[in-house]
Amino acid sequence: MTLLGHFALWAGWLIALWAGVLAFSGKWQRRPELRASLTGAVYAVFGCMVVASLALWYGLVTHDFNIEYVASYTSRTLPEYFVFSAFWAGQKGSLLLWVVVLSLFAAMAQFMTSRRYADLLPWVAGVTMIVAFFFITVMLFSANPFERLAFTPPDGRGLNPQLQNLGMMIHPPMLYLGYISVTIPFAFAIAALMSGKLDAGWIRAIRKWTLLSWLFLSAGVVLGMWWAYVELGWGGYWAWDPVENASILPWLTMTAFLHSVMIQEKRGMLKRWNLMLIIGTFLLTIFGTFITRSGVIASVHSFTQSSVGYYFLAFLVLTGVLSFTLLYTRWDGLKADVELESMVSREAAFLFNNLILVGIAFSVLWGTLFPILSELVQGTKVTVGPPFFNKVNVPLGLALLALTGIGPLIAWRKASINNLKRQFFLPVASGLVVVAVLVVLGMRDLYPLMAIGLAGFVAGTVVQEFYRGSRARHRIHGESHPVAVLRLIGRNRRRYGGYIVHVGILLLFVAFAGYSFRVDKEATLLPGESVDVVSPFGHTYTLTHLGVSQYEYLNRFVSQATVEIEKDGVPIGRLSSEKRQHINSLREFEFQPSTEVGIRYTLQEDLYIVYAGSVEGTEEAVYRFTINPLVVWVWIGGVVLIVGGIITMWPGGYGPVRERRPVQAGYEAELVGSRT
Amino acid sequence: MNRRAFVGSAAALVSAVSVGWSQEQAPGRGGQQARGGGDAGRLYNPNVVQQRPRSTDADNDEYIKNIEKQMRCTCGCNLDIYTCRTTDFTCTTSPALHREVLALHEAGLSAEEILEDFMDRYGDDILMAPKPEGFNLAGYLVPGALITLVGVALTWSLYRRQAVLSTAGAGGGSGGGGGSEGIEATPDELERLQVAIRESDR
Repeated sequence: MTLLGHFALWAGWLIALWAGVLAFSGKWQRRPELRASLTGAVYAVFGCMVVASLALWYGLVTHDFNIEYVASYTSRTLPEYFVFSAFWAGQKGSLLLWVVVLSLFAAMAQFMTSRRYADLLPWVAGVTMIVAFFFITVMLFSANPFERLAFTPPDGRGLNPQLQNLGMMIHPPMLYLGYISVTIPFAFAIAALMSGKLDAGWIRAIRKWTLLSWLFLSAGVVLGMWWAYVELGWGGYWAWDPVENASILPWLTMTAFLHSVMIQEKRGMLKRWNLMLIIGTFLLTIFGTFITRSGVIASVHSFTQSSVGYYFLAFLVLTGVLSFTLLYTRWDGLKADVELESMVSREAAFLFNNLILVGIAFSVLWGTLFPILSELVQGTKVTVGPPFFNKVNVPLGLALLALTGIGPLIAWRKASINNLKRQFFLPVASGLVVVAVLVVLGMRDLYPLMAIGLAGFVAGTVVQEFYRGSRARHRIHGESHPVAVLRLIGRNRRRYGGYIVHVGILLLFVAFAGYSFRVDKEATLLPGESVDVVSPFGHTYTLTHLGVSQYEYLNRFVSQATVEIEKDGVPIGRLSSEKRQHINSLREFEFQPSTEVGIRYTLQEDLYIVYAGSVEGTEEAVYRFTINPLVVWVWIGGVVLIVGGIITMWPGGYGPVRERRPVQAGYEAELVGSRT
Repeated sequence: MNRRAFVGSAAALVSAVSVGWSQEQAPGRGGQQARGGGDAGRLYNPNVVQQRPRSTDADNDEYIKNIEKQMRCTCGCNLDIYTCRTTDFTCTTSPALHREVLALHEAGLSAEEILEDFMDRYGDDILMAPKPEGFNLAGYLVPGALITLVGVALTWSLYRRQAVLSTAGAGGGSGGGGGSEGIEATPDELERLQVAIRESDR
């Protein structure tokens, strides 16, 4: 099977090369059979990559430890579902995952794109196949997942315990899906530039793809935070690690694009900027891959240092230079249809929203690269950790939150004073009420106060938008308010789905603010001993150590320490944390003992316990207890964000495709009943 | 005092002293209550769990924690000393660095002096964020400065365009006002728009 996998890689490599050369030679423009060959090549590469993937999975499930990758990431005792996910646990397998998903998306783009944009598709095929060609090249010449060992070990080294987690089964593929799907909008952007079809056609063709990418990126980032929280054991979910930063960068620029593209659709403005954002987003996905795999920046998440980093760096530079050169050659054809009329307009608000989003992306990128820059300039490497990123990004994040509330309140083209007064009164009042309540309750910390106050303002904006819309439907159609709200969302999914996304964002900010009040305490307890921890909400948790039980389960020895919890004197249950020592089939230890945390989730605060270790091999246990306020709202906010995104991209809800037409200044009103 | 009273008083005294003694002996147990604390039996398999020293009051000292959160563990984990020593229980570097912080603190050094001492011995990159001086200032200022610069340029450019459009409008140009002349819509659509605006204005 490895021979077959190897052959499939080579076949895919040759076909992708053929497709790339053919597409950019332009020969297909006069010969229909070559055009058909291009489409066929995309499907063929997908087929080859499926065969290669099945070959690797076959090697994994049959424990073919003669394959270096299988021996490195699995063992005979590894549970089957983790054998399945070991496919993307290492560098080589994840590259194969990347290219199989890319070829799937490339095939879907060819198959599903409306025939209205057929002229763009050969170029799209060319770009996607060049990217696939690059990834297969990296595998064939630097990181081949089918590489064989000179001997066959009796058992493999097993999977890193931190990767033996449900979150790790879902989070990396989700993030990869986000990263990889960005290639399709990028391919359409290049196709538009190559073909000279610079109208809004390519924007419409990629609408679903951009939302899909954004959704996958969002889900990947949130799942990554959840994995870090439940698995890494430090009690937090975001540490500004270079790899975490790399995951958020394309999300930020893609979010900026999703806003600015509305201006192009409605007003025919920002054409150049939108192209720059899509190209930049694609380059950031390659940059993220580069820093994860090159070892150029130290990170706990990185794959082993290898030569693939050079490939990615070369590809990054080459793609950047070629893409922006191409954009430059089409610069004059990308003039805006109209000028921006007023500083006080939704277009202007979106521009500033873009400025902040791209500004945050820049500051994250700057901080991530600053150690390298410092070494070049000063000769000494500095560490740029959470204190730096928090100092630089928290004010920018608050500005972004404010704009999340301001944008929907301002009319397109030009807002009147009356319009502003009417629109802003309720949201501003709700924000001020929230701040007043918090101050009365004793909160004095500036940033959390501002974050929660601004969240109140954004909530006011969203509630007002839903209320006005449903009230209009209620009066015109006589619908009850719940029905009116549902129909409002159904009739204009993009707009109201977007508002639901804003609710997700405000929930995330509230949760981030709560995290700054976390409390932790280390304690050493004999069985029966207890310790008190007072939470930021004033609750006293009494935690009594019950003892440590040890047993063997699946591929590990488990040492489980359990505490009994009383909250304000009332027993509320037990919580356990584990130490896991993984073993292989020869009963040899794999890796160091890992920690499984115990978490009691509530809407108000999480109780997070970690069994740190044993005192002199006895049941006397060292614990770390952490109380994390409002953390659960990160996950709720993430779910709301994704639900909003799904509503936004759900088919239908737009009515028949219409040409852009000018909007009236001072108002934006729904033409009720015009989209039936 | 009879014999029974004497024995009772002596027992109470011994009990009080022993409780006081045990509390003094366990200052580092984080203020926990001894509520039925039993013997610590030996684990069936102690080799599968990390061995840890008993935690002390200093481990929970906010002052110490704040110092440690400003310095990086040198084991290569990218975490600060506090987070590493309370997370990666296989790391032997962060507990050693923690002991160094405690020793310097007990020697009477201030937080600033402890940080300076660590920088002298381990280099500037021991800090989790570079000191805002020299070239490092660029690290802190460039993102904000760039965003401000672009923001100001954007605002200025928008005002300028707005002024040009206003002038053109005053000179009889079509301009973007609140009129409906720019709308491409059927009379029926315009009528529905007016209804929607009236509803919205109520």
